[in-house]
Amino acid sequence: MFEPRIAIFGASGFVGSALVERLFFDNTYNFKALIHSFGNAARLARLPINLTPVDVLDFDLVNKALSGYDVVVNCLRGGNALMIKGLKNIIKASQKNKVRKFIHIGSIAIYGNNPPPGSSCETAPPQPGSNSYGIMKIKQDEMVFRLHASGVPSIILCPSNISGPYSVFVMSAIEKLLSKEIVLIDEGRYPANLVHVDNLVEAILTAIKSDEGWGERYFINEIEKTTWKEFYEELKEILNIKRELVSISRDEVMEQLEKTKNSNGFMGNLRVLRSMEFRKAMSILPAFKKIDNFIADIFFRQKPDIQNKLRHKLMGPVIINKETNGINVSDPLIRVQIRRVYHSPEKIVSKLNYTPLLDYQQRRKTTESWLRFVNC
Amino acid sequence: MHNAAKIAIVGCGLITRSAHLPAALRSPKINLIALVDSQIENAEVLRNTFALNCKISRNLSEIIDEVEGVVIATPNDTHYPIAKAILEKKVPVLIEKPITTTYEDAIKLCKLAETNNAFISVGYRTRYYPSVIMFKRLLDRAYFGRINHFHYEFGTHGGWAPVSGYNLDREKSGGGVLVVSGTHFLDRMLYWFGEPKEIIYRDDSYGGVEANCKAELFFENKLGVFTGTFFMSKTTKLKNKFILDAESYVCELSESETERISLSPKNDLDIKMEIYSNTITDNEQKIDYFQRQIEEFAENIHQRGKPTIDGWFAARSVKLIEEMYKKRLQLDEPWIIYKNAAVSEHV
Repeated sequence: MFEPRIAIFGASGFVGSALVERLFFDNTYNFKALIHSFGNAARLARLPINLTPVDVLDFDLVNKALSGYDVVVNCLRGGNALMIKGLKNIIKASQKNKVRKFIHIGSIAIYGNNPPPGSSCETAPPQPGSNSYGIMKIKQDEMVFRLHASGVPSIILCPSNISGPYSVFVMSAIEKLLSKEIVLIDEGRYPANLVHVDNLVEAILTAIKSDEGWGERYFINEIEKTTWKEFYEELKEILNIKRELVSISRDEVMEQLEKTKNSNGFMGNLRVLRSMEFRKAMSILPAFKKIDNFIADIFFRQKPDIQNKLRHKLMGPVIINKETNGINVSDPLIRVQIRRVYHSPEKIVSKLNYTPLLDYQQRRKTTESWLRFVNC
Repeated sequence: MHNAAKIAIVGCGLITRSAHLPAALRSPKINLIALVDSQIENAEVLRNTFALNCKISRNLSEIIDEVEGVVIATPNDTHYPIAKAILEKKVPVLIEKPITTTYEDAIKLCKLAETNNAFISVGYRTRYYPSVIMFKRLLDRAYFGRINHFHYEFGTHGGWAPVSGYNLDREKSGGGVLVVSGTHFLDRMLYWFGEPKEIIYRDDSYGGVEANCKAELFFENKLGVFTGTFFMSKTTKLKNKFILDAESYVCELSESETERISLSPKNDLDIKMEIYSNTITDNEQKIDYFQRQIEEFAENIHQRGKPTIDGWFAARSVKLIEEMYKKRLQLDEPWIIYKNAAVSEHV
C-alpha cells in the first residue's frame, strides 16, 4: 500500500495550515510543513511538529527540502516572483526527486471576474480577462500541466472563495457587514461559489489517495449551490444582525466598473500625473520640485484665458459622477458577486470519488463556533 | 555627546533594527559604543545599514569594560545568561521583555543587580504611554466608581517574524502568544490591578507554543472585588482594546492609542468622551516610546534613579505566566471535528 510522504509548500497559509492540522490530527500521514517565514506560522507552531523554513526562490534549498518525499502539495501564495519562480523551483525539484504525485492549488480566477456560462465545467477554456491574479494562475497551471507531461502525475484543484474557520474571506465579509458597506447585487441571487476549507482539504486528501484522474484540473466547490443572499443571511443570523441588505443592479455595477476601468487606463494615468496631489508628493524630490516650479512659472506668466485653455487641454473636463450612496463597486466583496456561474464540482465527485467531509449543518456549525470563539 | 551614556546593544535582530537602534541613534542621551551578536554578520549588516562607526563584536566580554549600560535584545532564553554576565561586571541592563523565561532566574538577576549596585530596566514600553499612566491615576482615585469587570483582547493575523524564529519555540521564547505579545498586557494589568487571586487559563497548544489563549481572572484587593478576562491571538485580528466596566463609566483603551481614554457614562452609553492628560507637551507627543525607554535607562545610569519597570516588577509577570501555564486547561476548539487520539497523546 502507498504510504505517502507529503511535503507541503505554503504550509503556514490558510489552506496549508488547515491541511497540516488535518494531517496532524489524523495521525496517519508522514508529512513535512515547509514555510516561507515564521511570521505567519503561529497556528502551526501550536502543534508539536517541525516547521521547515524554505526560500522557494532558492532551488538548492527546495531540492534539499524535497529529498525523501514523494507527494508535493503546493499551497504557496505570494507575489508574482514567488508564484512563478518559486513554482518553477518546486517543479524542477519534484522532477529531480522523482515525486510520485503533485497537487497544485489553482483558482477559479482563471475564468476572470465575469466568466461566460460555459465555464461551469472544467472543459471551458480559461479566460481571465484583466484579472491579473487569474493571468498568473493560468501561467502556473501551464507549468503544472507541463510537469505532468514530463512524467510527474499532477493535479490542479481550483477552489472558489474559501470559507470556514480562520477564513480571511469570511472575516472581511463580516467586517463589511458590520460597517454596513456590503450590498447585494441583484438581490444576491448569483452563486457564491464557496467552499469550506475542510472540504478543500478533503479534496486534497482525495487527490493524494487517487490513482486516477491525473493531468487534469478540478473545480472545488460545495455540492449544494449557495447564493450570496444565503451566505450573507446566514452571517446575519449568526451575528444577530437584523438590518436588511441593500441591493443594486448588476448593470449599474458593470457600468460603474467600466468607468473605473477607464480611469485606470492611459488617460486616467495621465490625469494622475498632472494632478496637484501627484506633483505635491513628487516634490519631495528636489530635482522634480525644481522642474515643476519652472513649468509653473512659465504657466502663470501666461494670460488668464490662455491659462484656462491650457488647463482644459491638459486636465480635460471636470467630471462629477452621480453619488452611489457610498457604494464602492470596486470593493472585492461586491465585485465578486458579478459572477453568475456556478463552477460545479461534479467532475471531482465522479472522477476521483470525492465526498465532502462536512455537510451544510457541519459547515455552519464549525464556522459559527469559530466566530463565537473570536468574539464576533 | 560627552554626557551621553555609553551603550552597547546585544542582539542584532528585528527588534534592534526596527526599534532599539533607531531610538538609540536618535537620542542625544545615548552614545552607541558597540553592537554585539554571536552571528557577527548581523551586527555588520546593521552597522552598514545605518552607516555607524561603532564597534561590532561577537563577544560581549570584548567591549563590556567600555560601556556604562547594555541593552539586551536577544531571544528570551538568552536574557538570563547574558544579563548575568553583564551584571557581574556591575553594568546596568535594559532587557527587552520578558526579563527571563523563569521566575527563578528573574529573581536571581534582581538579587545580583542589588549586590553589585547595578540595576535592571525591562522593556515594557507601553508603560510609558500617557494613557496607561493616566488610567492608573484614575483607578487609584476611584474615578470610575466600583470596578465590576474588565476585558482585554489583542489579536493579529501573524505578524512579528524575528530573524531566528525563536518566538515559535517554547524552549527559546518561554511560551507562545501569552509570553510574546501578552506579557505587555500582563505587566499593565499588574500595574493597574495587582495580582489576581484566582486564575482560569486556557490555551490551544498541542505540545507546541499556544497561538490563542483566554483567561478568567478574579481579583480581591484594595480596588475591590472584581473579575477580568483576556483573549490573545496570533491567528486572528481582534478588536485590540481594553474595556473596563465600572460603576460610573465604561472605559476603553485602544491598543494603538497612547494618549487618550474613551469614557461612556453608565447612565448614557450613547455618549462617548475622550480624555487625555493635559500635561503632555508637544515634544512628548512626538517622542517614540522606545526612545523614552532608552533615555530613562541612560538617565538612571548617571543619576541612579528608579526604572519605571525594574527587574522586581518585571519578575511578577513572569511569575504570573508560570502560574497560568501550570494551571493550563485545553482551549476548546469545537470547529476541529476530526480530532482523534492524536490530541490526547500530545497534550
